Parts: sequence; structure tokens; C-alpha cells
Amino acid sequence: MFRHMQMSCVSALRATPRIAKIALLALLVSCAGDDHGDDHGDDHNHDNEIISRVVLTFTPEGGGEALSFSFDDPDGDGGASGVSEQIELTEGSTYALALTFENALTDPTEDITADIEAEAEAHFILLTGDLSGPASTPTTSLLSQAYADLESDYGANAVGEDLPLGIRHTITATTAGSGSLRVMLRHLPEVNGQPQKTASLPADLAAGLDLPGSVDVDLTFDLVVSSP
Amino acid sequence: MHLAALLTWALNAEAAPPPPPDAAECVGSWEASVVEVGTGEPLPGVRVELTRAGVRGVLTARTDAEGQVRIEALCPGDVRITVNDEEHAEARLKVTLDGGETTTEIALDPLHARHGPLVRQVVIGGHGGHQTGSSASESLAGDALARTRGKGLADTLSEMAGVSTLRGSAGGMGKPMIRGHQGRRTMILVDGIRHEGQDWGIDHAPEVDPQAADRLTVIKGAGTTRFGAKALGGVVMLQSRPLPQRPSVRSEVSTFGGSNPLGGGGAARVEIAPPRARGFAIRVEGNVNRHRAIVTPTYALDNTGSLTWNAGTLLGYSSDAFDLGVGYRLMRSKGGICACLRISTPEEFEQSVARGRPVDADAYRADFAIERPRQEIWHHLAYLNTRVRLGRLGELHGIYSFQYNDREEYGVVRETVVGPQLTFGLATHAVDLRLEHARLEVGRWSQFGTLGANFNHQSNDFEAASTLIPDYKHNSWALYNVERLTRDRVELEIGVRYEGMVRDTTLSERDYLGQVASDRLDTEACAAEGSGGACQHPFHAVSGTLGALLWPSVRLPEMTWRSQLHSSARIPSIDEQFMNGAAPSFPILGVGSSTIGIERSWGGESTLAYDGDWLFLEAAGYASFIDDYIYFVPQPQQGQCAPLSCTTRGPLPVFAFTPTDALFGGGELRFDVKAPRLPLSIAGSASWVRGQNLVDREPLALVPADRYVATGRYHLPESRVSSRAYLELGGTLVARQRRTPLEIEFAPPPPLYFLLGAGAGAEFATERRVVRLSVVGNNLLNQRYRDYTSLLRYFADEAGWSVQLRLSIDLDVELGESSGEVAQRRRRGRLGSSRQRG
Repeated sequence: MFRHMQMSCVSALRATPRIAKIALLALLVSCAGDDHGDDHGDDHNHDNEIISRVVLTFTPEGGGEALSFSFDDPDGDGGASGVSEQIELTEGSTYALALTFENALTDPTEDITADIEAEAEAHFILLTGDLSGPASTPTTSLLSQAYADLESDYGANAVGEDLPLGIRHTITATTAGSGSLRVMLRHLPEVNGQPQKTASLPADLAAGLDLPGSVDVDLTFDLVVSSP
Repeated sequence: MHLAALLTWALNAEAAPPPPPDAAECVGSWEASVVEVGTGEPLPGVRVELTRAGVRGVLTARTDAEGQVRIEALCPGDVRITVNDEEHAEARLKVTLDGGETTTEIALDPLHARHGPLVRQVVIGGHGGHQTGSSASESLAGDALARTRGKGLADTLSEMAGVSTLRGSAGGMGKPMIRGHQGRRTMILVDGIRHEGQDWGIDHAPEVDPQAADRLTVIKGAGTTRFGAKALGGVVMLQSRPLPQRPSVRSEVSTFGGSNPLGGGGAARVEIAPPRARGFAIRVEGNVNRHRAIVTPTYALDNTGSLTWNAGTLLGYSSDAFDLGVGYRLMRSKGGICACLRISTPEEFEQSVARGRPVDADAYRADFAIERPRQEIWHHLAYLNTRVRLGRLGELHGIYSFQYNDREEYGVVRETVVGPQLTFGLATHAVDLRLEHARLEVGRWSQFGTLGANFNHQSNDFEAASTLIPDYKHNSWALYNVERLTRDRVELEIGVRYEGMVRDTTLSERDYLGQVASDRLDTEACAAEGSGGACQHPFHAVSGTLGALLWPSVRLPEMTWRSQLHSSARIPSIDEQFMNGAAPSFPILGVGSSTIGIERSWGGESTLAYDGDWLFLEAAGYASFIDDYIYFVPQPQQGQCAPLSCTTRGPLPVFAFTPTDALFGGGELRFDVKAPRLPLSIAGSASWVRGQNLVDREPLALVPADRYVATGRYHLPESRVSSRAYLELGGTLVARQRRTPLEIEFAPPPPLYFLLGAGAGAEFATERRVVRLSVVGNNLLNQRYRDYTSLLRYFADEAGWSVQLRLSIDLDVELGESSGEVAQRRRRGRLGSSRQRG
């Protein structure tokens, strides 16, 4: 009963318009006689966009079964470590790579990919590691990468150039060997009306500069390219 | 009202002074007796300052044991009297001397709660000891407090020696650090009620309104026996003065504005004690403060604007035998968090630190708008307090309070997401009873004491998509006894406190499984319940203090020596036991451990002070050993990213709350010299804090750097219109913190910095009105700097130069007398009454 009283008062507080909150004293007095509140003050406004699972799906261009590799952190930002699968590709093959971002902490699992696509102009996915592409220019590499999408694929391109988003890539496994692949999703909302997503970001990252915006995803997968 | 009109108003209210008479005529004397309003008790040791129009310099004297003061060799004419005492509101009055003997009665309004004659303590020599006992303390009241209006709590206290600020990431937010302790190890009391907020969060500023206080006192050491186990590091007390006890209307209106951050606000308070309902009084107060983003010397700290308002009321009845008060306070605060704090990769974090400038600083603007990320807080406090005189037994004081702290934190999210990402609701019911027993005579000793009991029920409701801290409920209770023995020049204090708590924690499924998987859950206290888990932890903590306050020399009654030995036990806070999540904006994960137990300190402190008419000097030293000091240290992890932990945002280090052994020590020096015949004074302080981790044999993190403050002041002569006018110039030097634990620091400590400040102020006082005007300039050299105890230091610089202007008007009107009496009183003085003897 004690808890009920308290929670119902709390719910009342949240629901009360700002000005009426000044009259809290009266509210508290009236709450004291109120014991039929619901058991929990959930107000379901905790929309969140936690990404706990990232899936990389490599579809061979010449046909064949799509290969999926994931990173999964089942307790989110809790203290338990997440686990990434090893990416295994075949030398000489070209793949269409598609990324999906999920919040598996909710039931059912929430797909965040569409939200990212809807804000394509404020997001950029950058691939680095042992691959050569716009954001990565190592001396030796196992893969080559090119973006296979543009902001305009996901909606009207309203701001600046029509840049890639990076949900889709074309990947060619060029050299057999083992290394790593790093996937970074940057959230780049405008700062005071100034776009933060610019064409130079991949090159800046390749040059070792730090980038604006915040890091939503930063994952490193072990990569093995085997001879056919 | 326009300022010019206001000044004219103040000016016209004063009569023109007579021309200065010849020195030969100056044979008059002035005598006063100073008593307390309500009780009528004489007040010994009160400082009385007498200033004469057109004459430079101040005559100072103190009241004797009977509350009497006498100043001789005075010329005929008007003099202004200011009466100062730590425990009472400042009084000022104008007295006309006729060249003979003039006698005045002065009654001071107490700043403390009313006490009956049997429990009232004789304050030896008048020098404090009243509320803080043998602990070192420092207070801010009167015009010194007025000069800080509009600042947050931490900044208001930051000029005190040994008190620094743990600055958060939002505009002006911070929490006070007392001798290197903050948050979980310090307690904030608002009119005797323990403030309850989410104070474990490193960037959570305390949700209290310093503007509602008429006196701010910091106890710089363990206050555990009196206040509770959490007061291991120190106590901040905000005290509003009691409601008026004579029929009157008192009002205060103030306004302040600043250039950086650009903004300002205002405050008003009205207290009415109606003549027709003797003993009843009401106070209504409110303030609002809004500013845009802070500007550093080279760029704006984007999104650090804030909006805060407070409202409060108190209705009370007071008589000799019984007091009752019912009050309510509400705080609303919205503060943006600097856009410069962002989640980056560990490499980028290091690059950003090395560059010394946010990567997107060119786009930063100083706006009023408060965008994401931001914090929004409502804090409610409703309370009921009472005092009942129990005849020969003493007096019973009781407070019931309910607080609800409603905190919402909004992160930078995709536009489809609305609402806060973290919501905390903390509800606290507290009952505090204390019996102040009647004075006992034990041989040549007088014994005073307090027997107290507390009960506290608290529940926390946390909602977010990720884990951070669990929901919990706790019941805690305490019993304490503090006894004081006084005789002649010695006061001894002994205190003991027992505190118990049962904390019931409810873990969500993911939280429970994660903590079980990482082997951090106390298997004896926790079990699976529903889809998650539940834990129950009982705690028992006993603390004791032994203190002495001595007046070592008969010939130097201005000298006091305070010493205290203490052992205090602290119950771990909720985050230390159960935190499980990412620290906002820092590339780390934080975890607690539910097996953590009580932390115990053993320490001592000593303060030697001289408080004379023209010189104040204080030296304090302290040391404490903390057994099982709960510390936040990196913990190597197993798994794919060992020694780090794999997250979607990259491999992050895990910091865990871990008991270690720590040694704290340090000291402070304070001085204030008023040149006896020159219109100059100089005041300053030096603070040193050291902290050592005895297990790892390295310095502790987040210990404030050495700090030196000095201010010189030129006092302008009294004029027909203004009084106590001054010009001041000062500086603060903060050394580089060289003692840091290398493994724990994210960035090297920032270099030494010096901030130049200047100010000016004056009062325009009439019998019933005091108009105070002050202007303060900070960081006038526009120095770029970062502070070791500021979270901003990893991301951006602190504020550049600023100027603040403050204006306040206090107005008192006494009620309930015939118009003849009112006219007579008006002639006598503002807070005192004067009897002329020919």
C-alpha cells in the first residue's frame, strides 16, 4: 500500500502541468488518501536506439549462399563482454555487403537500420582495417571496398552533396590471408545548422585525423580470406 | 523602479550630516547592550563596528559577557553602527550622538532555530562553536553571500579554503568538494533536512537553491555523529533565517546579470508576521535564472545554456514553548551538456586531448536554446518541523520531510526518438527527532547535549533501455548522542552514532544475468526472482568523535584551538554496489560490486584561529586513514577484447568499484588583515589536499590541486549616501596537480593557471532599506585554462572573462504599533532601538 501511494503520487506529478506542480503540497495531501494507483509508473517514453547487435551479410555476386557474420552484446552496456564472429571470405570473389543494426535487448528485436537510412544525411559508415577503400589505404590489404549506396537511395538529398551512407558496399576479396575489418557508424547531426557529414570524412579517417560527431558503432572483426 | 530613481530615493531618505565638530568636543561615549530577538538573552562576543560620516576608518569593539559594548571619545553627530555575529542576522542602525553618554539597545534576529533557556548554550567569548562544535568550518552570510547570488551551490562555496568544485559537463553545473571528498562522502543539509538526489553521478549537481539560504556553512571534516554516516568527508549546510518573530514585513528583491554566460535573473522574498496573529508568520520566495552558453576565450561551449527556477513557502507559528512550521520548496532546472562531450573512439579521444580544442568548435555558438544532450530536473521538498519545550527535560525538535527528485537525461539520438533516455525518480521520507537536554551542572562543568534518532525510507525508480543502476528501496535508522562539557576556557565534545540500513534491490533480467555472468553478485544476499533478481543487504555502522575547543590564553581571548579525533563508517552507495553500464560520454564501462561493505575512516584534525579586531588568522591541518576506501579502478577483463570489454562502440576499459586503503591529509591557511588606520585590507587563503592509495602506492585520482587565493580591498570613505563601499583586486592561482595515478588518468593533468578578478561594491542603507550594489569581474586576463577536477578538461577549456552585476534591496517594516510608536521607532534605527541619555 505504501508503494502504491507513492507511485500514484509520482505518476500524478509527471502528469501534472508545470504550473500546477507548484501546488504540490495540496497534491501530496490529496495523494495521502489515494491507494489505487497502478503498480508501476512506466510511461513508455524511453525510446532508445541502443545497438546491441550488428550483422554483416556478404552475398556473392556470382550467386551462392549469403554469408552472415555478427557482433552481439547481449547485455548491452553491462559489464559482460560482447562477442564478434570471424569473417571468412574466398579470394577472388566479389560480394555485396549489407549491414543491419539491431537492438536485441528488446523483445521483439528492434531493427535500427531503417532509422539510420531515414537519417542518411546524418550518418556515415566507414570501413577500415586490412582493406583498401575510401577510408582505408594500407600498404597491403586483403579486401577492396567501394560504397554501393547514396543518401538519395533512402530519401531526398536535401543537404550538401549526395554522399554514400555505407549500409551497402561492394567488397572484393583480393588477397588470401588473415587480418581484421573495422566497422564504424558515425552519427553526425548538424551543429547549429552546419552539416558535419562531409565528403572528406573517409579520407580524414584514412589520414588518421579525428572526426566530428559521435561513435554509435565501432567494431573490429577477425578476417580470414582463403584461397578458392 | 529605475536605478537612478532608486538611488535618489535612498539619498533623500538620509538627512545631511552636521559639519564635523572640533576634536575638543569629542568626549562623548556610546554604550549598547546586544540581545537576541525572541529570547532576550544578552549576546556576548558580538562584533560592533562604528563608522562616522566623513571619517575614514572603522571603530571596532566586541560585547562583553553581559552583551555590553562601550566606545568612548566620540564627537557629537550621526554614527552608523553595524552589528555582526555568526549566529545572528546582521543589524545596522544610525545613532545620533549628542556629546554625552548615549545608550542603545540592539536586538538581533537569530539565524538558528529557537532554543529555550534551559538548553541554550553559553557561547564562550562569542566565537562560534555553536553549531559546528569542534569541527573546522567556514560560513558565508550577509554581504559576502549577497555577492554570490545567482551562482550555483558549488561556485558559491568555491572561494572557501579547502572547498573546490567538481565541475560537470553542463553550463555552470558542479558539486562542492570538501578537502578532496565529494558526492557520496559529503552531505548537504537544507534547513536541517538531508538533501536526497542522485548524487552518486559524477555530473549530477546537487538540486538545492543557494539563494534560499541566509547562511551557508561548510563543515570541513567528519560530521558523522551529528549528521550521518555519509558526512564522512564534510557537510554543507544551507540555512534560511527563522521567520520574523516580531510583527513585521521583511522583503528582499535582488537581480543579477552576467556577461559570460550572458544572462541573468532575479529573486524575491517576502516574510510577513501579522500583528493580529502573534506568533504566526509566512514566507514566500522565488527566483529565476537563465543564461546562454558559456564562452571560452576562443570558442563557445555549445549547448551549455541553462534555465533554473525555484519557489518556496514556509508557514510557521512560534512561541516560547512551541514552534511549528510547514514548508515546501520546488526546484526546476534544465541544463544543456556541452556539445564538446561526445562518444569517440579511444584513438580520437586521445587526439582530441592532444589537440586541445573540440574538433567541431568552429560551428559552436553561444545560444540560449537547450538542445540534446541535456538534463531536466524537478526537485520537490515538503516538510514539517516542530519544537516543543519539555519543561526541565529540555526541548524536542522534530522534522518530517518528503523529497522527490525527478531527473531526466536526454541523449543525442536519431530524430525518431522522443523523450529522455534515462529517467530517475527518487522518493525519500525522513523523520528526524532530537532531544536537546537541559543543561546539567557537573561540578564546575556545564553539560549540554543532543540525543537524536532518524528514520529514512527511500525508493528509487530507474528507467532506461540500458542498465545503469537498479531500482531499490531502503529503510535506514540512526541513534546518536552528542554531549558537550564546558567550563571557563574549555569545551569538550563527545559523540557517538549508530546507523543501520536494509537495502532491497531489484535487478532486471539483463542486469541480473550480466552481473551473475561477470561474477559480481553477492550470492549470499542475492537470488533469482521473477525474470531478474533481488538482493537484500543489511548494514550497521558506528561512528564516534572526540573533540575539544580551547581558548589557550587568558590574555588572548580571540585565540581558539579546535581539535577532533573521529572514526566514521560509511555505507556504500547504490552505484558502488550495483552500477552496471556506460559512463556518459566517457569511453569506459562502470561496474559495482554487491559484496562491497562498510568503509571506515580514522582521522584527526586541528585548527588554530585568531579572530581579533583587525586580524583574522586561521591554520588548519588534518589527516585520515580510510580502511576499505571504495575506489573506482580499471579492472582487466576476460573475453575477446581482453583486457578490455567488447561493446558495439568498441572495446572499452571496465572500471570497477574496489575497496583499497587510502590516506588523506592536508591543510588550509586563511587570513584577513584590516589595516588599523588605513582604508585597506587584504584577505587570502591557501589550500592543500593530498590523497594516497596505500595498496598501489600511488596518488589517488581527482584530488584537487593546491590553490592560493588573495584579494586586496580599498575601502572608500563613508559618504552621505553610501556606506561600506570598496574596490577590490584579487587573484586565484591553481597549481598543476603533479600527483596523479598514471594508469587511471585519461589525460595529463592541466598546467598551472592564474585567474585575475576585480570587483567593486557599495551599500546604500537607510533605517529600513539596504540597497546593495556590486560588480565582479572574473578571469579578466581572459586566460585559457582547464581545471584538474573539471570533467570538461578532457574536451574543452573553461570560461573566459566575465563581468557580473548584482543589485539587491532589503526592506523591513515593523507592524502592529500605533503611528506614534512607528514614527518613534523610525527615528531609532532599523533593527535596533535607541534610548538617548542626556
